[in-house]
Amino acid sequence: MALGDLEQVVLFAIVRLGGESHGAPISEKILETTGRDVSPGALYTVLDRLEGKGFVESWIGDSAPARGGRRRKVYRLLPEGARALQSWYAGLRDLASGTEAWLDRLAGEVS
Amino acid sequence: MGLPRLLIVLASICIPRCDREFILGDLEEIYTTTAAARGRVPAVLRYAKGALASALTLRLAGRGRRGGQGLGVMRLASNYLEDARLAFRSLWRRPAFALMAAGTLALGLGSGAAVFTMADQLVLRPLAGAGNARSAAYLQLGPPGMFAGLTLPHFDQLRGSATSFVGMASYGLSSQNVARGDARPIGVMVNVVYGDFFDVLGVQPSAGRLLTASDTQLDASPFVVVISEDLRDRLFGPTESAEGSTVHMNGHAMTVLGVAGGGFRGPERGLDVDAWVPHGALVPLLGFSRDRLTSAESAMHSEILVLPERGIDPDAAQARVVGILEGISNADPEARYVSTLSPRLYPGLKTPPLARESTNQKLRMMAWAVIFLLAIACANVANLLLFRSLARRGALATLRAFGAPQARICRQQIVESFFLALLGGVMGLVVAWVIMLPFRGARLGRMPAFEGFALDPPVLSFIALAALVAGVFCGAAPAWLAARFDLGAALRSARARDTGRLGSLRTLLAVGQIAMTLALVVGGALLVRTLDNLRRVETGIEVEHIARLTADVPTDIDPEALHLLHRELLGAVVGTPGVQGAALDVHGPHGATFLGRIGVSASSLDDEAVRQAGVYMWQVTPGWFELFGMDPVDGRVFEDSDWRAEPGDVVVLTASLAERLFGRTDVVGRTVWAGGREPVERRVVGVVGDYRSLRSPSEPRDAFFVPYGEAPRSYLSVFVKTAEDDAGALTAVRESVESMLPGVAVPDPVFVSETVAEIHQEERLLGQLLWTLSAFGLLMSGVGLYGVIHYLVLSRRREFGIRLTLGADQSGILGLVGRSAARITLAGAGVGLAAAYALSRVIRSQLFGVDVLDGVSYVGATSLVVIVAGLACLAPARAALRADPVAALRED
Repeated sequence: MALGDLEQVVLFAIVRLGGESHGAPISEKILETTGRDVSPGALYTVLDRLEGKGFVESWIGDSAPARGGRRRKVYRLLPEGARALQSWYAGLRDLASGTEAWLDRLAGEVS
Repeated sequence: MGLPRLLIVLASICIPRCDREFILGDLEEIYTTTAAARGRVPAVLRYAKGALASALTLRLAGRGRRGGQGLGVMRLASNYLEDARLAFRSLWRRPAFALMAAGTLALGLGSGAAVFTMADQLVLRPLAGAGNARSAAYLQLGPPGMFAGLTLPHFDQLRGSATSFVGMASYGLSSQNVARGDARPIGVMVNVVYGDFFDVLGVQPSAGRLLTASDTQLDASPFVVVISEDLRDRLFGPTESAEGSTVHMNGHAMTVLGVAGGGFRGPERGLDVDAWVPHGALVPLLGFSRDRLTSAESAMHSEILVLPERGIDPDAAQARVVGILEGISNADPEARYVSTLSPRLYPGLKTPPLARESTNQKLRMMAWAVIFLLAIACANVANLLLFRSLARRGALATLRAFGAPQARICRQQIVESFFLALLGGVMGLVVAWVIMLPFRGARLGRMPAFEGFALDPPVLSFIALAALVAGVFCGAAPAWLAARFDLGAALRSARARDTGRLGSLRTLLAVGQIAMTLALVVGGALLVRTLDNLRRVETGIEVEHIARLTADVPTDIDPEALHLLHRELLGAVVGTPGVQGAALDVHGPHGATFLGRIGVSASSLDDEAVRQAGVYMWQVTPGWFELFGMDPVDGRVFEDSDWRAEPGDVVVLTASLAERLFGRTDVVGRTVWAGGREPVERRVVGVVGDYRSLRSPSEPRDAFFVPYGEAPRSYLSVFVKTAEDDAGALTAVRESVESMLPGVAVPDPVFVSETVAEIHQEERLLGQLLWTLSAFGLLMSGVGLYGVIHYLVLSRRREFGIRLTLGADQSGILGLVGRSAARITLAGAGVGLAAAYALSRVIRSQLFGVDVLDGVSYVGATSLVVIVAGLACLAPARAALRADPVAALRED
């Protein structure tokens, strides 16, 4: 099943956070690695879609004082999601292989 | 530092319920980490941005409600429609409350709409027909009101050198009689223009063509005219074409080149000009010699319009003009006068420079009054809504207990207040219409007459926006209350109690209302006292039963014939049955006046101090002084032998001028140099009492009188005194003047007392407006204070009941209620007096004979507010005395 741009980023962020996490750390990880500030609203819309595709599962977690006493919704990457990410990444790697030198040259010319 | 609670409430209102808890939690977590790393402000901004983006994303994705995907916007709309339906139902069930709250807002919003209408008609609307009204500018060469101009050669030099401007033109104003064929002439205002006047203004012709820069040169034909659409309709009717036709202006045949389109009526709002003639037309129309138009003595190019280059800074353009004028002054010994000019650019053709400052000042004053009133109205409605939400505490608690989210209750409060504001806005349109009724056709100074209230798009947009803002302000306090709603406490005691923070808020609102009302009432009182003082000013001139008739006179006859015509005309008027006295004068008292020059010697004529004082020069016939009741304090006034065809050698001074020139008033027989353009040596034959101008009566206005008819004028004014405004005698006078000036239309006579009333009209209208707003404010403050005290009594009913049962006397209970009311009133009065002082400083320039800290106004206004406060407490005090402890305990 195809993965959208933000879906890939979100899935990778969950992987980097140990396979399971909730909204705030996922947002922060995406901001830290890609510079993209994804609002929690957009994030939950994407996670909702990924859950519908069977790539992640969610449950209501505990509350914390840092969250004003509110509970968190925790998402975990499922094997189906890991496979989709793997296959998409392999395809991307194949597509990109051999282009590095050319890209370097072009980038150099432009600069 | 924690996250602002208001932000959380707003976020929780915006974000849909489905993921609200997790999203708010995530946002707060992100806030905490951002605040630790980058500080509080970036963290708050990130929180707000995240909340807004989340709300939009979720709503547009249709995750706002159960049922999931799609049609998010529709769901959003239906959500708010449901809130609107609930709000409407809630208000419908309590029509008295809804009408009271909306009516209060209507007073505020209506006053706002009325003042906005005035501002729109005075300054906001673009000048009709002038496409460049925003980009063009007025260039004044001296302070507004002081005549400062350039001669034609120097104006040409300035035009040629000022590269900062795309175009430059000058214009003057004149009144002329225009007729087509044998029809009765019509009196119109005419602009005498020079340069690319119509191009600078961006006026397009609606027929034919307009005057170009070359048409206005002195070597071009002066017998051409451009007319307004209005004059075209009056002379030719709406169907006949005017271009190429001939009209007669003061008896001279002029060819109509074209019609100015877009309803253009000249470059100054309020002066409805109907015709534009080239500069050279001054020769046939006003009898100027051609040499005079170019002479170095005649610096008549004073009203200048410029079109600056796109993007040029007005200050830089002004500096360029200063530089060019300095160059002209240095290069030409005859141009030394140019160095005394002080050019100033007034960008935009909204208000002419002369009226700009005073108009803006008046509008600022009215705007402040309206802001005060709107604030009072909002505070009042907020108080009413708070009162109601307290009464509905039980119902709200039940709703919350059944799971209604807090945000939804908050939102409903806001929607309800918007509903009230909307209703108030609609009712406010009626209030605005009523307020504007006395203003219809009235003028503030030189500005255009008010057209009355009209439902046009700018006014509707204003009232919609003001209603929206009022809705937010009124709903903020009840929504805040709903956000802090304590379910447990409410369920424990469903009965309303005015406690803690809420009580303070309601008290604060009442204090604010009283303060603002007091400021308004003081402002109104100061203006009313000003008007009273102005009415009592002794000007030194009696104008009762004196009417003025104006007429154009021929300019192409020799001075001797003109003198004989004047004598004959005055003789005929004096001989008319019913006429008690008559005199000729060019303008007359309390109208436009010539500024003359006077000195004790020829060399003292240029005395700066005298010139700055603006010495009035009146040219009057014998009989003028007797007519206006100006008796000599020394010597005599003019006799018949003083009135001759050639310039006379006598002068009469006012006492203040004699004092200024000689340091004494017994100066008969002394010699002065006095006159207009060319002062001559004259003998003082008499000194009359002081004259005070109605517009600035604080100091006597220096004036001197010379015999009538020294310079040929194209028009004259006949002043006639009749017994008790005898209309028959005035008609006879008018007919006899018309019979002596064939082809000249003599307009209906105007009583000088009407002119005086017009001059006072400005203060009267402003005073009336402030009083209306003050009355609204008093009414609302009274209601507001009543609400607070009434609620206080309700919440302490049990206490009062028990006290009465235990033997407390009625005066003790009244004292308790009275002390609460007095605390609020005193606090309000304290703040209000300070606000009143600030407001009176804003209106200081409108005041006459009244100090900014006028004791009568301050004490009177404070007493009035205290009386209203006292009246507002009567009903609650009576309720306190009737408190029944058993009933109160049963309710608990």
